[in-house]
Amino acid sequence: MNLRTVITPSLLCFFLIIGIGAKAQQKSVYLFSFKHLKESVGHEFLLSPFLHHTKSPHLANYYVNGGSLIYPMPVYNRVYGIITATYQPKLRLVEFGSKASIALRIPMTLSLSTVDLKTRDGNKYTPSSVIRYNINSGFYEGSRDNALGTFSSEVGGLIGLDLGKGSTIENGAKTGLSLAAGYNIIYGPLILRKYDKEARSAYKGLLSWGSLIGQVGIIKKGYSFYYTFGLNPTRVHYDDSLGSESTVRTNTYQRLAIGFKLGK
Amino acid sequence: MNKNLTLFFLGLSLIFTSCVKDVYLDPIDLPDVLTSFVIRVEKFSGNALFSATNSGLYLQFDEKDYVEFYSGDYSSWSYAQWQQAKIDYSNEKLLATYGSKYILLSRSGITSGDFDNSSLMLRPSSIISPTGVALQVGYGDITVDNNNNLVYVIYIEKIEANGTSKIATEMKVSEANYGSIDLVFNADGDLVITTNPVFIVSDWETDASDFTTIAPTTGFTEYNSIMRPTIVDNVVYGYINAPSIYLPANSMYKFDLSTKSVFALNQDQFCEFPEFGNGILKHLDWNGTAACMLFPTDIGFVGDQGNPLSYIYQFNLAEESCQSFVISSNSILQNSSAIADVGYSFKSDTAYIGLNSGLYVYDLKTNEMTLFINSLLSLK
Repeated sequence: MNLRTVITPSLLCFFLIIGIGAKAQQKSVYLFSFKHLKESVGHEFLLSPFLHHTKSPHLANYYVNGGSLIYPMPVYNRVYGIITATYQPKLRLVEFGSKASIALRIPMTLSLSTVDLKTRDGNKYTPSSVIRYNINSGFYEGSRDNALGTFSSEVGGLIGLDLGKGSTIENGAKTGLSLAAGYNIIYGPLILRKYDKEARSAYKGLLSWGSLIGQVGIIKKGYSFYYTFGLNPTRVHYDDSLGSESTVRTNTYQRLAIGFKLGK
Repeated sequence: MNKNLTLFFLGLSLIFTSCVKDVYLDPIDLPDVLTSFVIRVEKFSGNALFSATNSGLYLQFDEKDYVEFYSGDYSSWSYAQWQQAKIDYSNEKLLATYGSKYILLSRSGITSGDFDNSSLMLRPSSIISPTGVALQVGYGDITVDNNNNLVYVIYIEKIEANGTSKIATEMKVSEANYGSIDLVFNADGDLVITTNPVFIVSDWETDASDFTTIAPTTGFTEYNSIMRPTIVDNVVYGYINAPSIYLPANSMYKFDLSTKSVFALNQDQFCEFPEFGNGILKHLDWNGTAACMLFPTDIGFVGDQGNPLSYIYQFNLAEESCQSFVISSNSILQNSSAIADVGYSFKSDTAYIGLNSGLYVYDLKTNEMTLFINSLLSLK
């Protein structure tokens, strides 16, 4: 069974249970309404200097000639964020009194980053045709000398529970907690290095991917800290050309961000 | 609330730790015989493909389903023998014959040997039946009729587990019509011998005594044989001679077995052949009544600018029309003489090109060319 089909409903069930519990305690529930849009929407700006790293799922194979056998190595797209900025609007869908809410976050991210399609061992993948020269040299795929490109973008949707500060507009607590899960689509690189010559279309299917993510946040007055992580990583086991077993974790997401509340 | 929060964190931790999926990549055993000098390529219907190279033989039954044999595993043939061999594929078996020699490939292995040389087997041809029986048909005896004219008697020789066995028949061809033999199976599984006359044999596996003789009565009645034939709606279509680099085929026959009339058609009446070339040098496939044929040019070095190097024609004998596809030069293929052989089946837009550096896949729509073994490497 696909893990994604299990995780998302499970998390939603958890939030529902907690929501029911909170409802029982608070005895007052407010649903999102366009009439009170200003009170139900929050805005945040998140910034991550050198604290953003993500790897795509296993997208292709890099083949190494090991004599009588060809050894496939998993290729993934990886993003190292140098400066990553996110604008994150938050819609409070359900408010439980003034102490808790269930909110939808829609993070939109632009990252100054290096982006590369590579193997764990550093072989830089290119989808150019295999030629005889490559085979004699022991490699069945062409390779690049430099990273594929720069800049990446992301857009996602997370549903989560906010407790304490920031959970509702009326809440006066000093600290708040945010727990969310959702889906994030990543695209990169936005700028391909010119000397690669390969057209962007040659990398079709290798430059964007989607991933389930979870997010934990601590909200203080005026600022917050968010840790975002991948929920369904994949461990790819493979043999190198010497026959030794290697493992690489793909479909990962790691980001630590400091957030600033925009507006009231 | 605290109790709920604790439950939440416990649940989240459980989910997070159980979400890691494990994937295993296994090493791949690639057919390395396809990265050496290619001598012969044949593409059959479906995904079946055969290639003979300096290193060995490759037989593909379906995508990523193949067997390979190294040259030390069987009696190797010369370049010229492979170039001229008749190759037939059916029921996951491939039969290659050259003169009295044969090589039979299947999943279970390779058999190579000689047909029975103890008696005549003139102008033989070979085929594999739809049920997988490999056989050769030739003139096995010569007699004289009442007018003292020579008469050639047809024999059938089957390849069996422990050699071959011959079946003498009563099928006879007169001296005037003596020519090469070729064979095809009709939709009923009968063996059709396309000599003059045409013989349709239903019990070819036993004693070949139950056969029908159909001699032409109108049209081009004095033909000798119909080569590389196909049979569609009781009409036999084929070439005046088997196309080869030594003898291009310029004309084709259409023998309507119902009306017993034979028509001869010149290909260049319907196809606009290029200036540089020697004609149709290879039959590639049948697309119903359309013959797929290879017309290589002898233009030489042309660079990588997309100049035409070879043509594939589909000449429809029933509709009397012609369609062409072109193989153009590129960074890998810049010389017409570099093409050792071409395999093509009408059901795809792909030609398989044998070069001295290996077997390549050529997309006739986009003119892109890649090494064949690359198609066997994909994300699993």
